[in-house]
Amino acid sequence: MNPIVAWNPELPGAPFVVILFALFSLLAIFGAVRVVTASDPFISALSLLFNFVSLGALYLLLGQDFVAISQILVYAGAVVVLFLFVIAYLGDRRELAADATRGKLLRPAGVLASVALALVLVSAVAAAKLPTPVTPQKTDAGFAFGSPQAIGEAFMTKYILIFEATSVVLLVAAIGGVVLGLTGRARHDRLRKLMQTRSADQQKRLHDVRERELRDERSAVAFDEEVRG
Amino acid sequence: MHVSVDWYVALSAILFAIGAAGVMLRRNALVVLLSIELMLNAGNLSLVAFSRTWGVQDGQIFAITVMAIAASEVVVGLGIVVALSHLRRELDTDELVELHG
Repeated sequence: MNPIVAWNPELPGAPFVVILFALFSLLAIFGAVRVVTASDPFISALSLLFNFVSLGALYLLLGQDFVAISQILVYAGAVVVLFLFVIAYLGDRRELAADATRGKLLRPAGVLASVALALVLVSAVAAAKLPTPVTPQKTDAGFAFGSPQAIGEAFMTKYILIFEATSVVLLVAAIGGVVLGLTGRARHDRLRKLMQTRSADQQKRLHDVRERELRDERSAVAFDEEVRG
Repeated sequence: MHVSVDWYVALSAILFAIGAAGVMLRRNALVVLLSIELMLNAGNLSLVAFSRTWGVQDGQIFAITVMAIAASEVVVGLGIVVALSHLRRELDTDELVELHG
């Protein structure tokens, strides 16, 4: 258990915990709102980083050291950096102003739906009468609750199947990333052709171009023969 | 005065709703993926809060597994986005209808 313990009012740091919770939850909400509202994907990704770090701090307040540090390492360290790489690679792709106003009716409807979702969930939580947290016990092997040792012990004994299954999922995802990302020229061209043949109009245009080229070629050959003959 | 578990779960509900709003409102495929990450994190927060409430570790194991799955999801999702970006200029989710029957 880390020194910042959330639920013990007798602890000297208890009022401090309330202040920290308020601070980091507001920061998390601010980051989340910026993710959704920023028109630049780069700003969205950086706001997501903000949100992830705030959530990591909240995990620390909950006394879950290992989850907090994995949050920072995995999400803030790996996921957000991957997003930033892809955004930088793709270049500037803001949503055009025309796009933003296209669904005039759908936009307020989406806002309304999400506000309703938030209200329903929060009122359900408020009505739920959740129990006062128990004081966490040490594990059978004597490790503190939420410590890396305790998590490792759980993963290696009770949850070994989940651990192995997760490794298989990660391997499959890595292979999928390679297949999706590092495609060869041939696959690339095939996909492009597939996209082009989608529209009948485009197909006709391509056909016309090919026809004309063929005709030009034929007449050129005929001209050639005439000149030689 | 102390922070009860309700506050953490309510915060996670609000974050989840904001993420859902992002998925519903935004058209950029990248921002939609970012919003899905927001929702996964909101779920994680309530898992961790409940794990602390009951003093059992199952919630933490669940949260760490969700992190691993989310990382794989990001790899595949971004792979699809990059593959799509070779084919077309915009990443508008309304325009990506190649798989329509």
